[in-house]
Amino acid sequence: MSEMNKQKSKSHTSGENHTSLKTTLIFTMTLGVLILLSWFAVFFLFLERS
Amino acid sequence: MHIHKYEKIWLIFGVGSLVLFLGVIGVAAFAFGHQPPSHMATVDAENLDQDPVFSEPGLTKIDESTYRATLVAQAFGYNPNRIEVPEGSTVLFEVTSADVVHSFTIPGTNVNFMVTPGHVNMAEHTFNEPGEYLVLCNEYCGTGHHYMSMTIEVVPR
Repeated sequence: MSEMNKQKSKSHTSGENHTSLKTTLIFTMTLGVLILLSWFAVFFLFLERS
Repeated sequence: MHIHKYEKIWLIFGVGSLVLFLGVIGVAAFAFGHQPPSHMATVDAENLDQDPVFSEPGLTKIDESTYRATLVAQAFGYNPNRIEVPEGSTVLFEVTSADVVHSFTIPGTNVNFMVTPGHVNMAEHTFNEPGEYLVLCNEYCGTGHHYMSMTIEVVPR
């Protein structure tokens, strides 16, 4: 029984390690940069008009 | 606790942006005195004709280049509906409503705020370019909403 548990947790851990977050990072950063750019665009428009 | 390297990157990015945005708001509010258009100044909306300021709305001169415009918004217009200031003047707008929620919007400037009954809504703007400035109601206030406007005439010095 304990042997089985061991095996199970082992395979589970190795599965997690294979998960790649590279695309998630690219998407998150793209979204973040878009939000920052649009925020600054509106902020400079505000400064320009005051 | 194990955090993935990439997760660390976007957490730092997220928290960093939050600090940046809150910092900008803090500096604008405490160092430059930016405030919301309704400065918690109140007025009795049902008895505006007895109010010392709003019973006679209009333009008053504070100093050589500063004016105070007290205006009453009411369906479907502003009182007075035309003011005239010289070029380069800073106008402090103090606007209230005698009935429903209106707005006071000068297109192309940062003056764009709600006019709520019972509140004195304020904004200021320096008119550096001479010309005729249109003021519009931006808040649907009834069947004549699209007719609600006034004019600010900025004359050359």
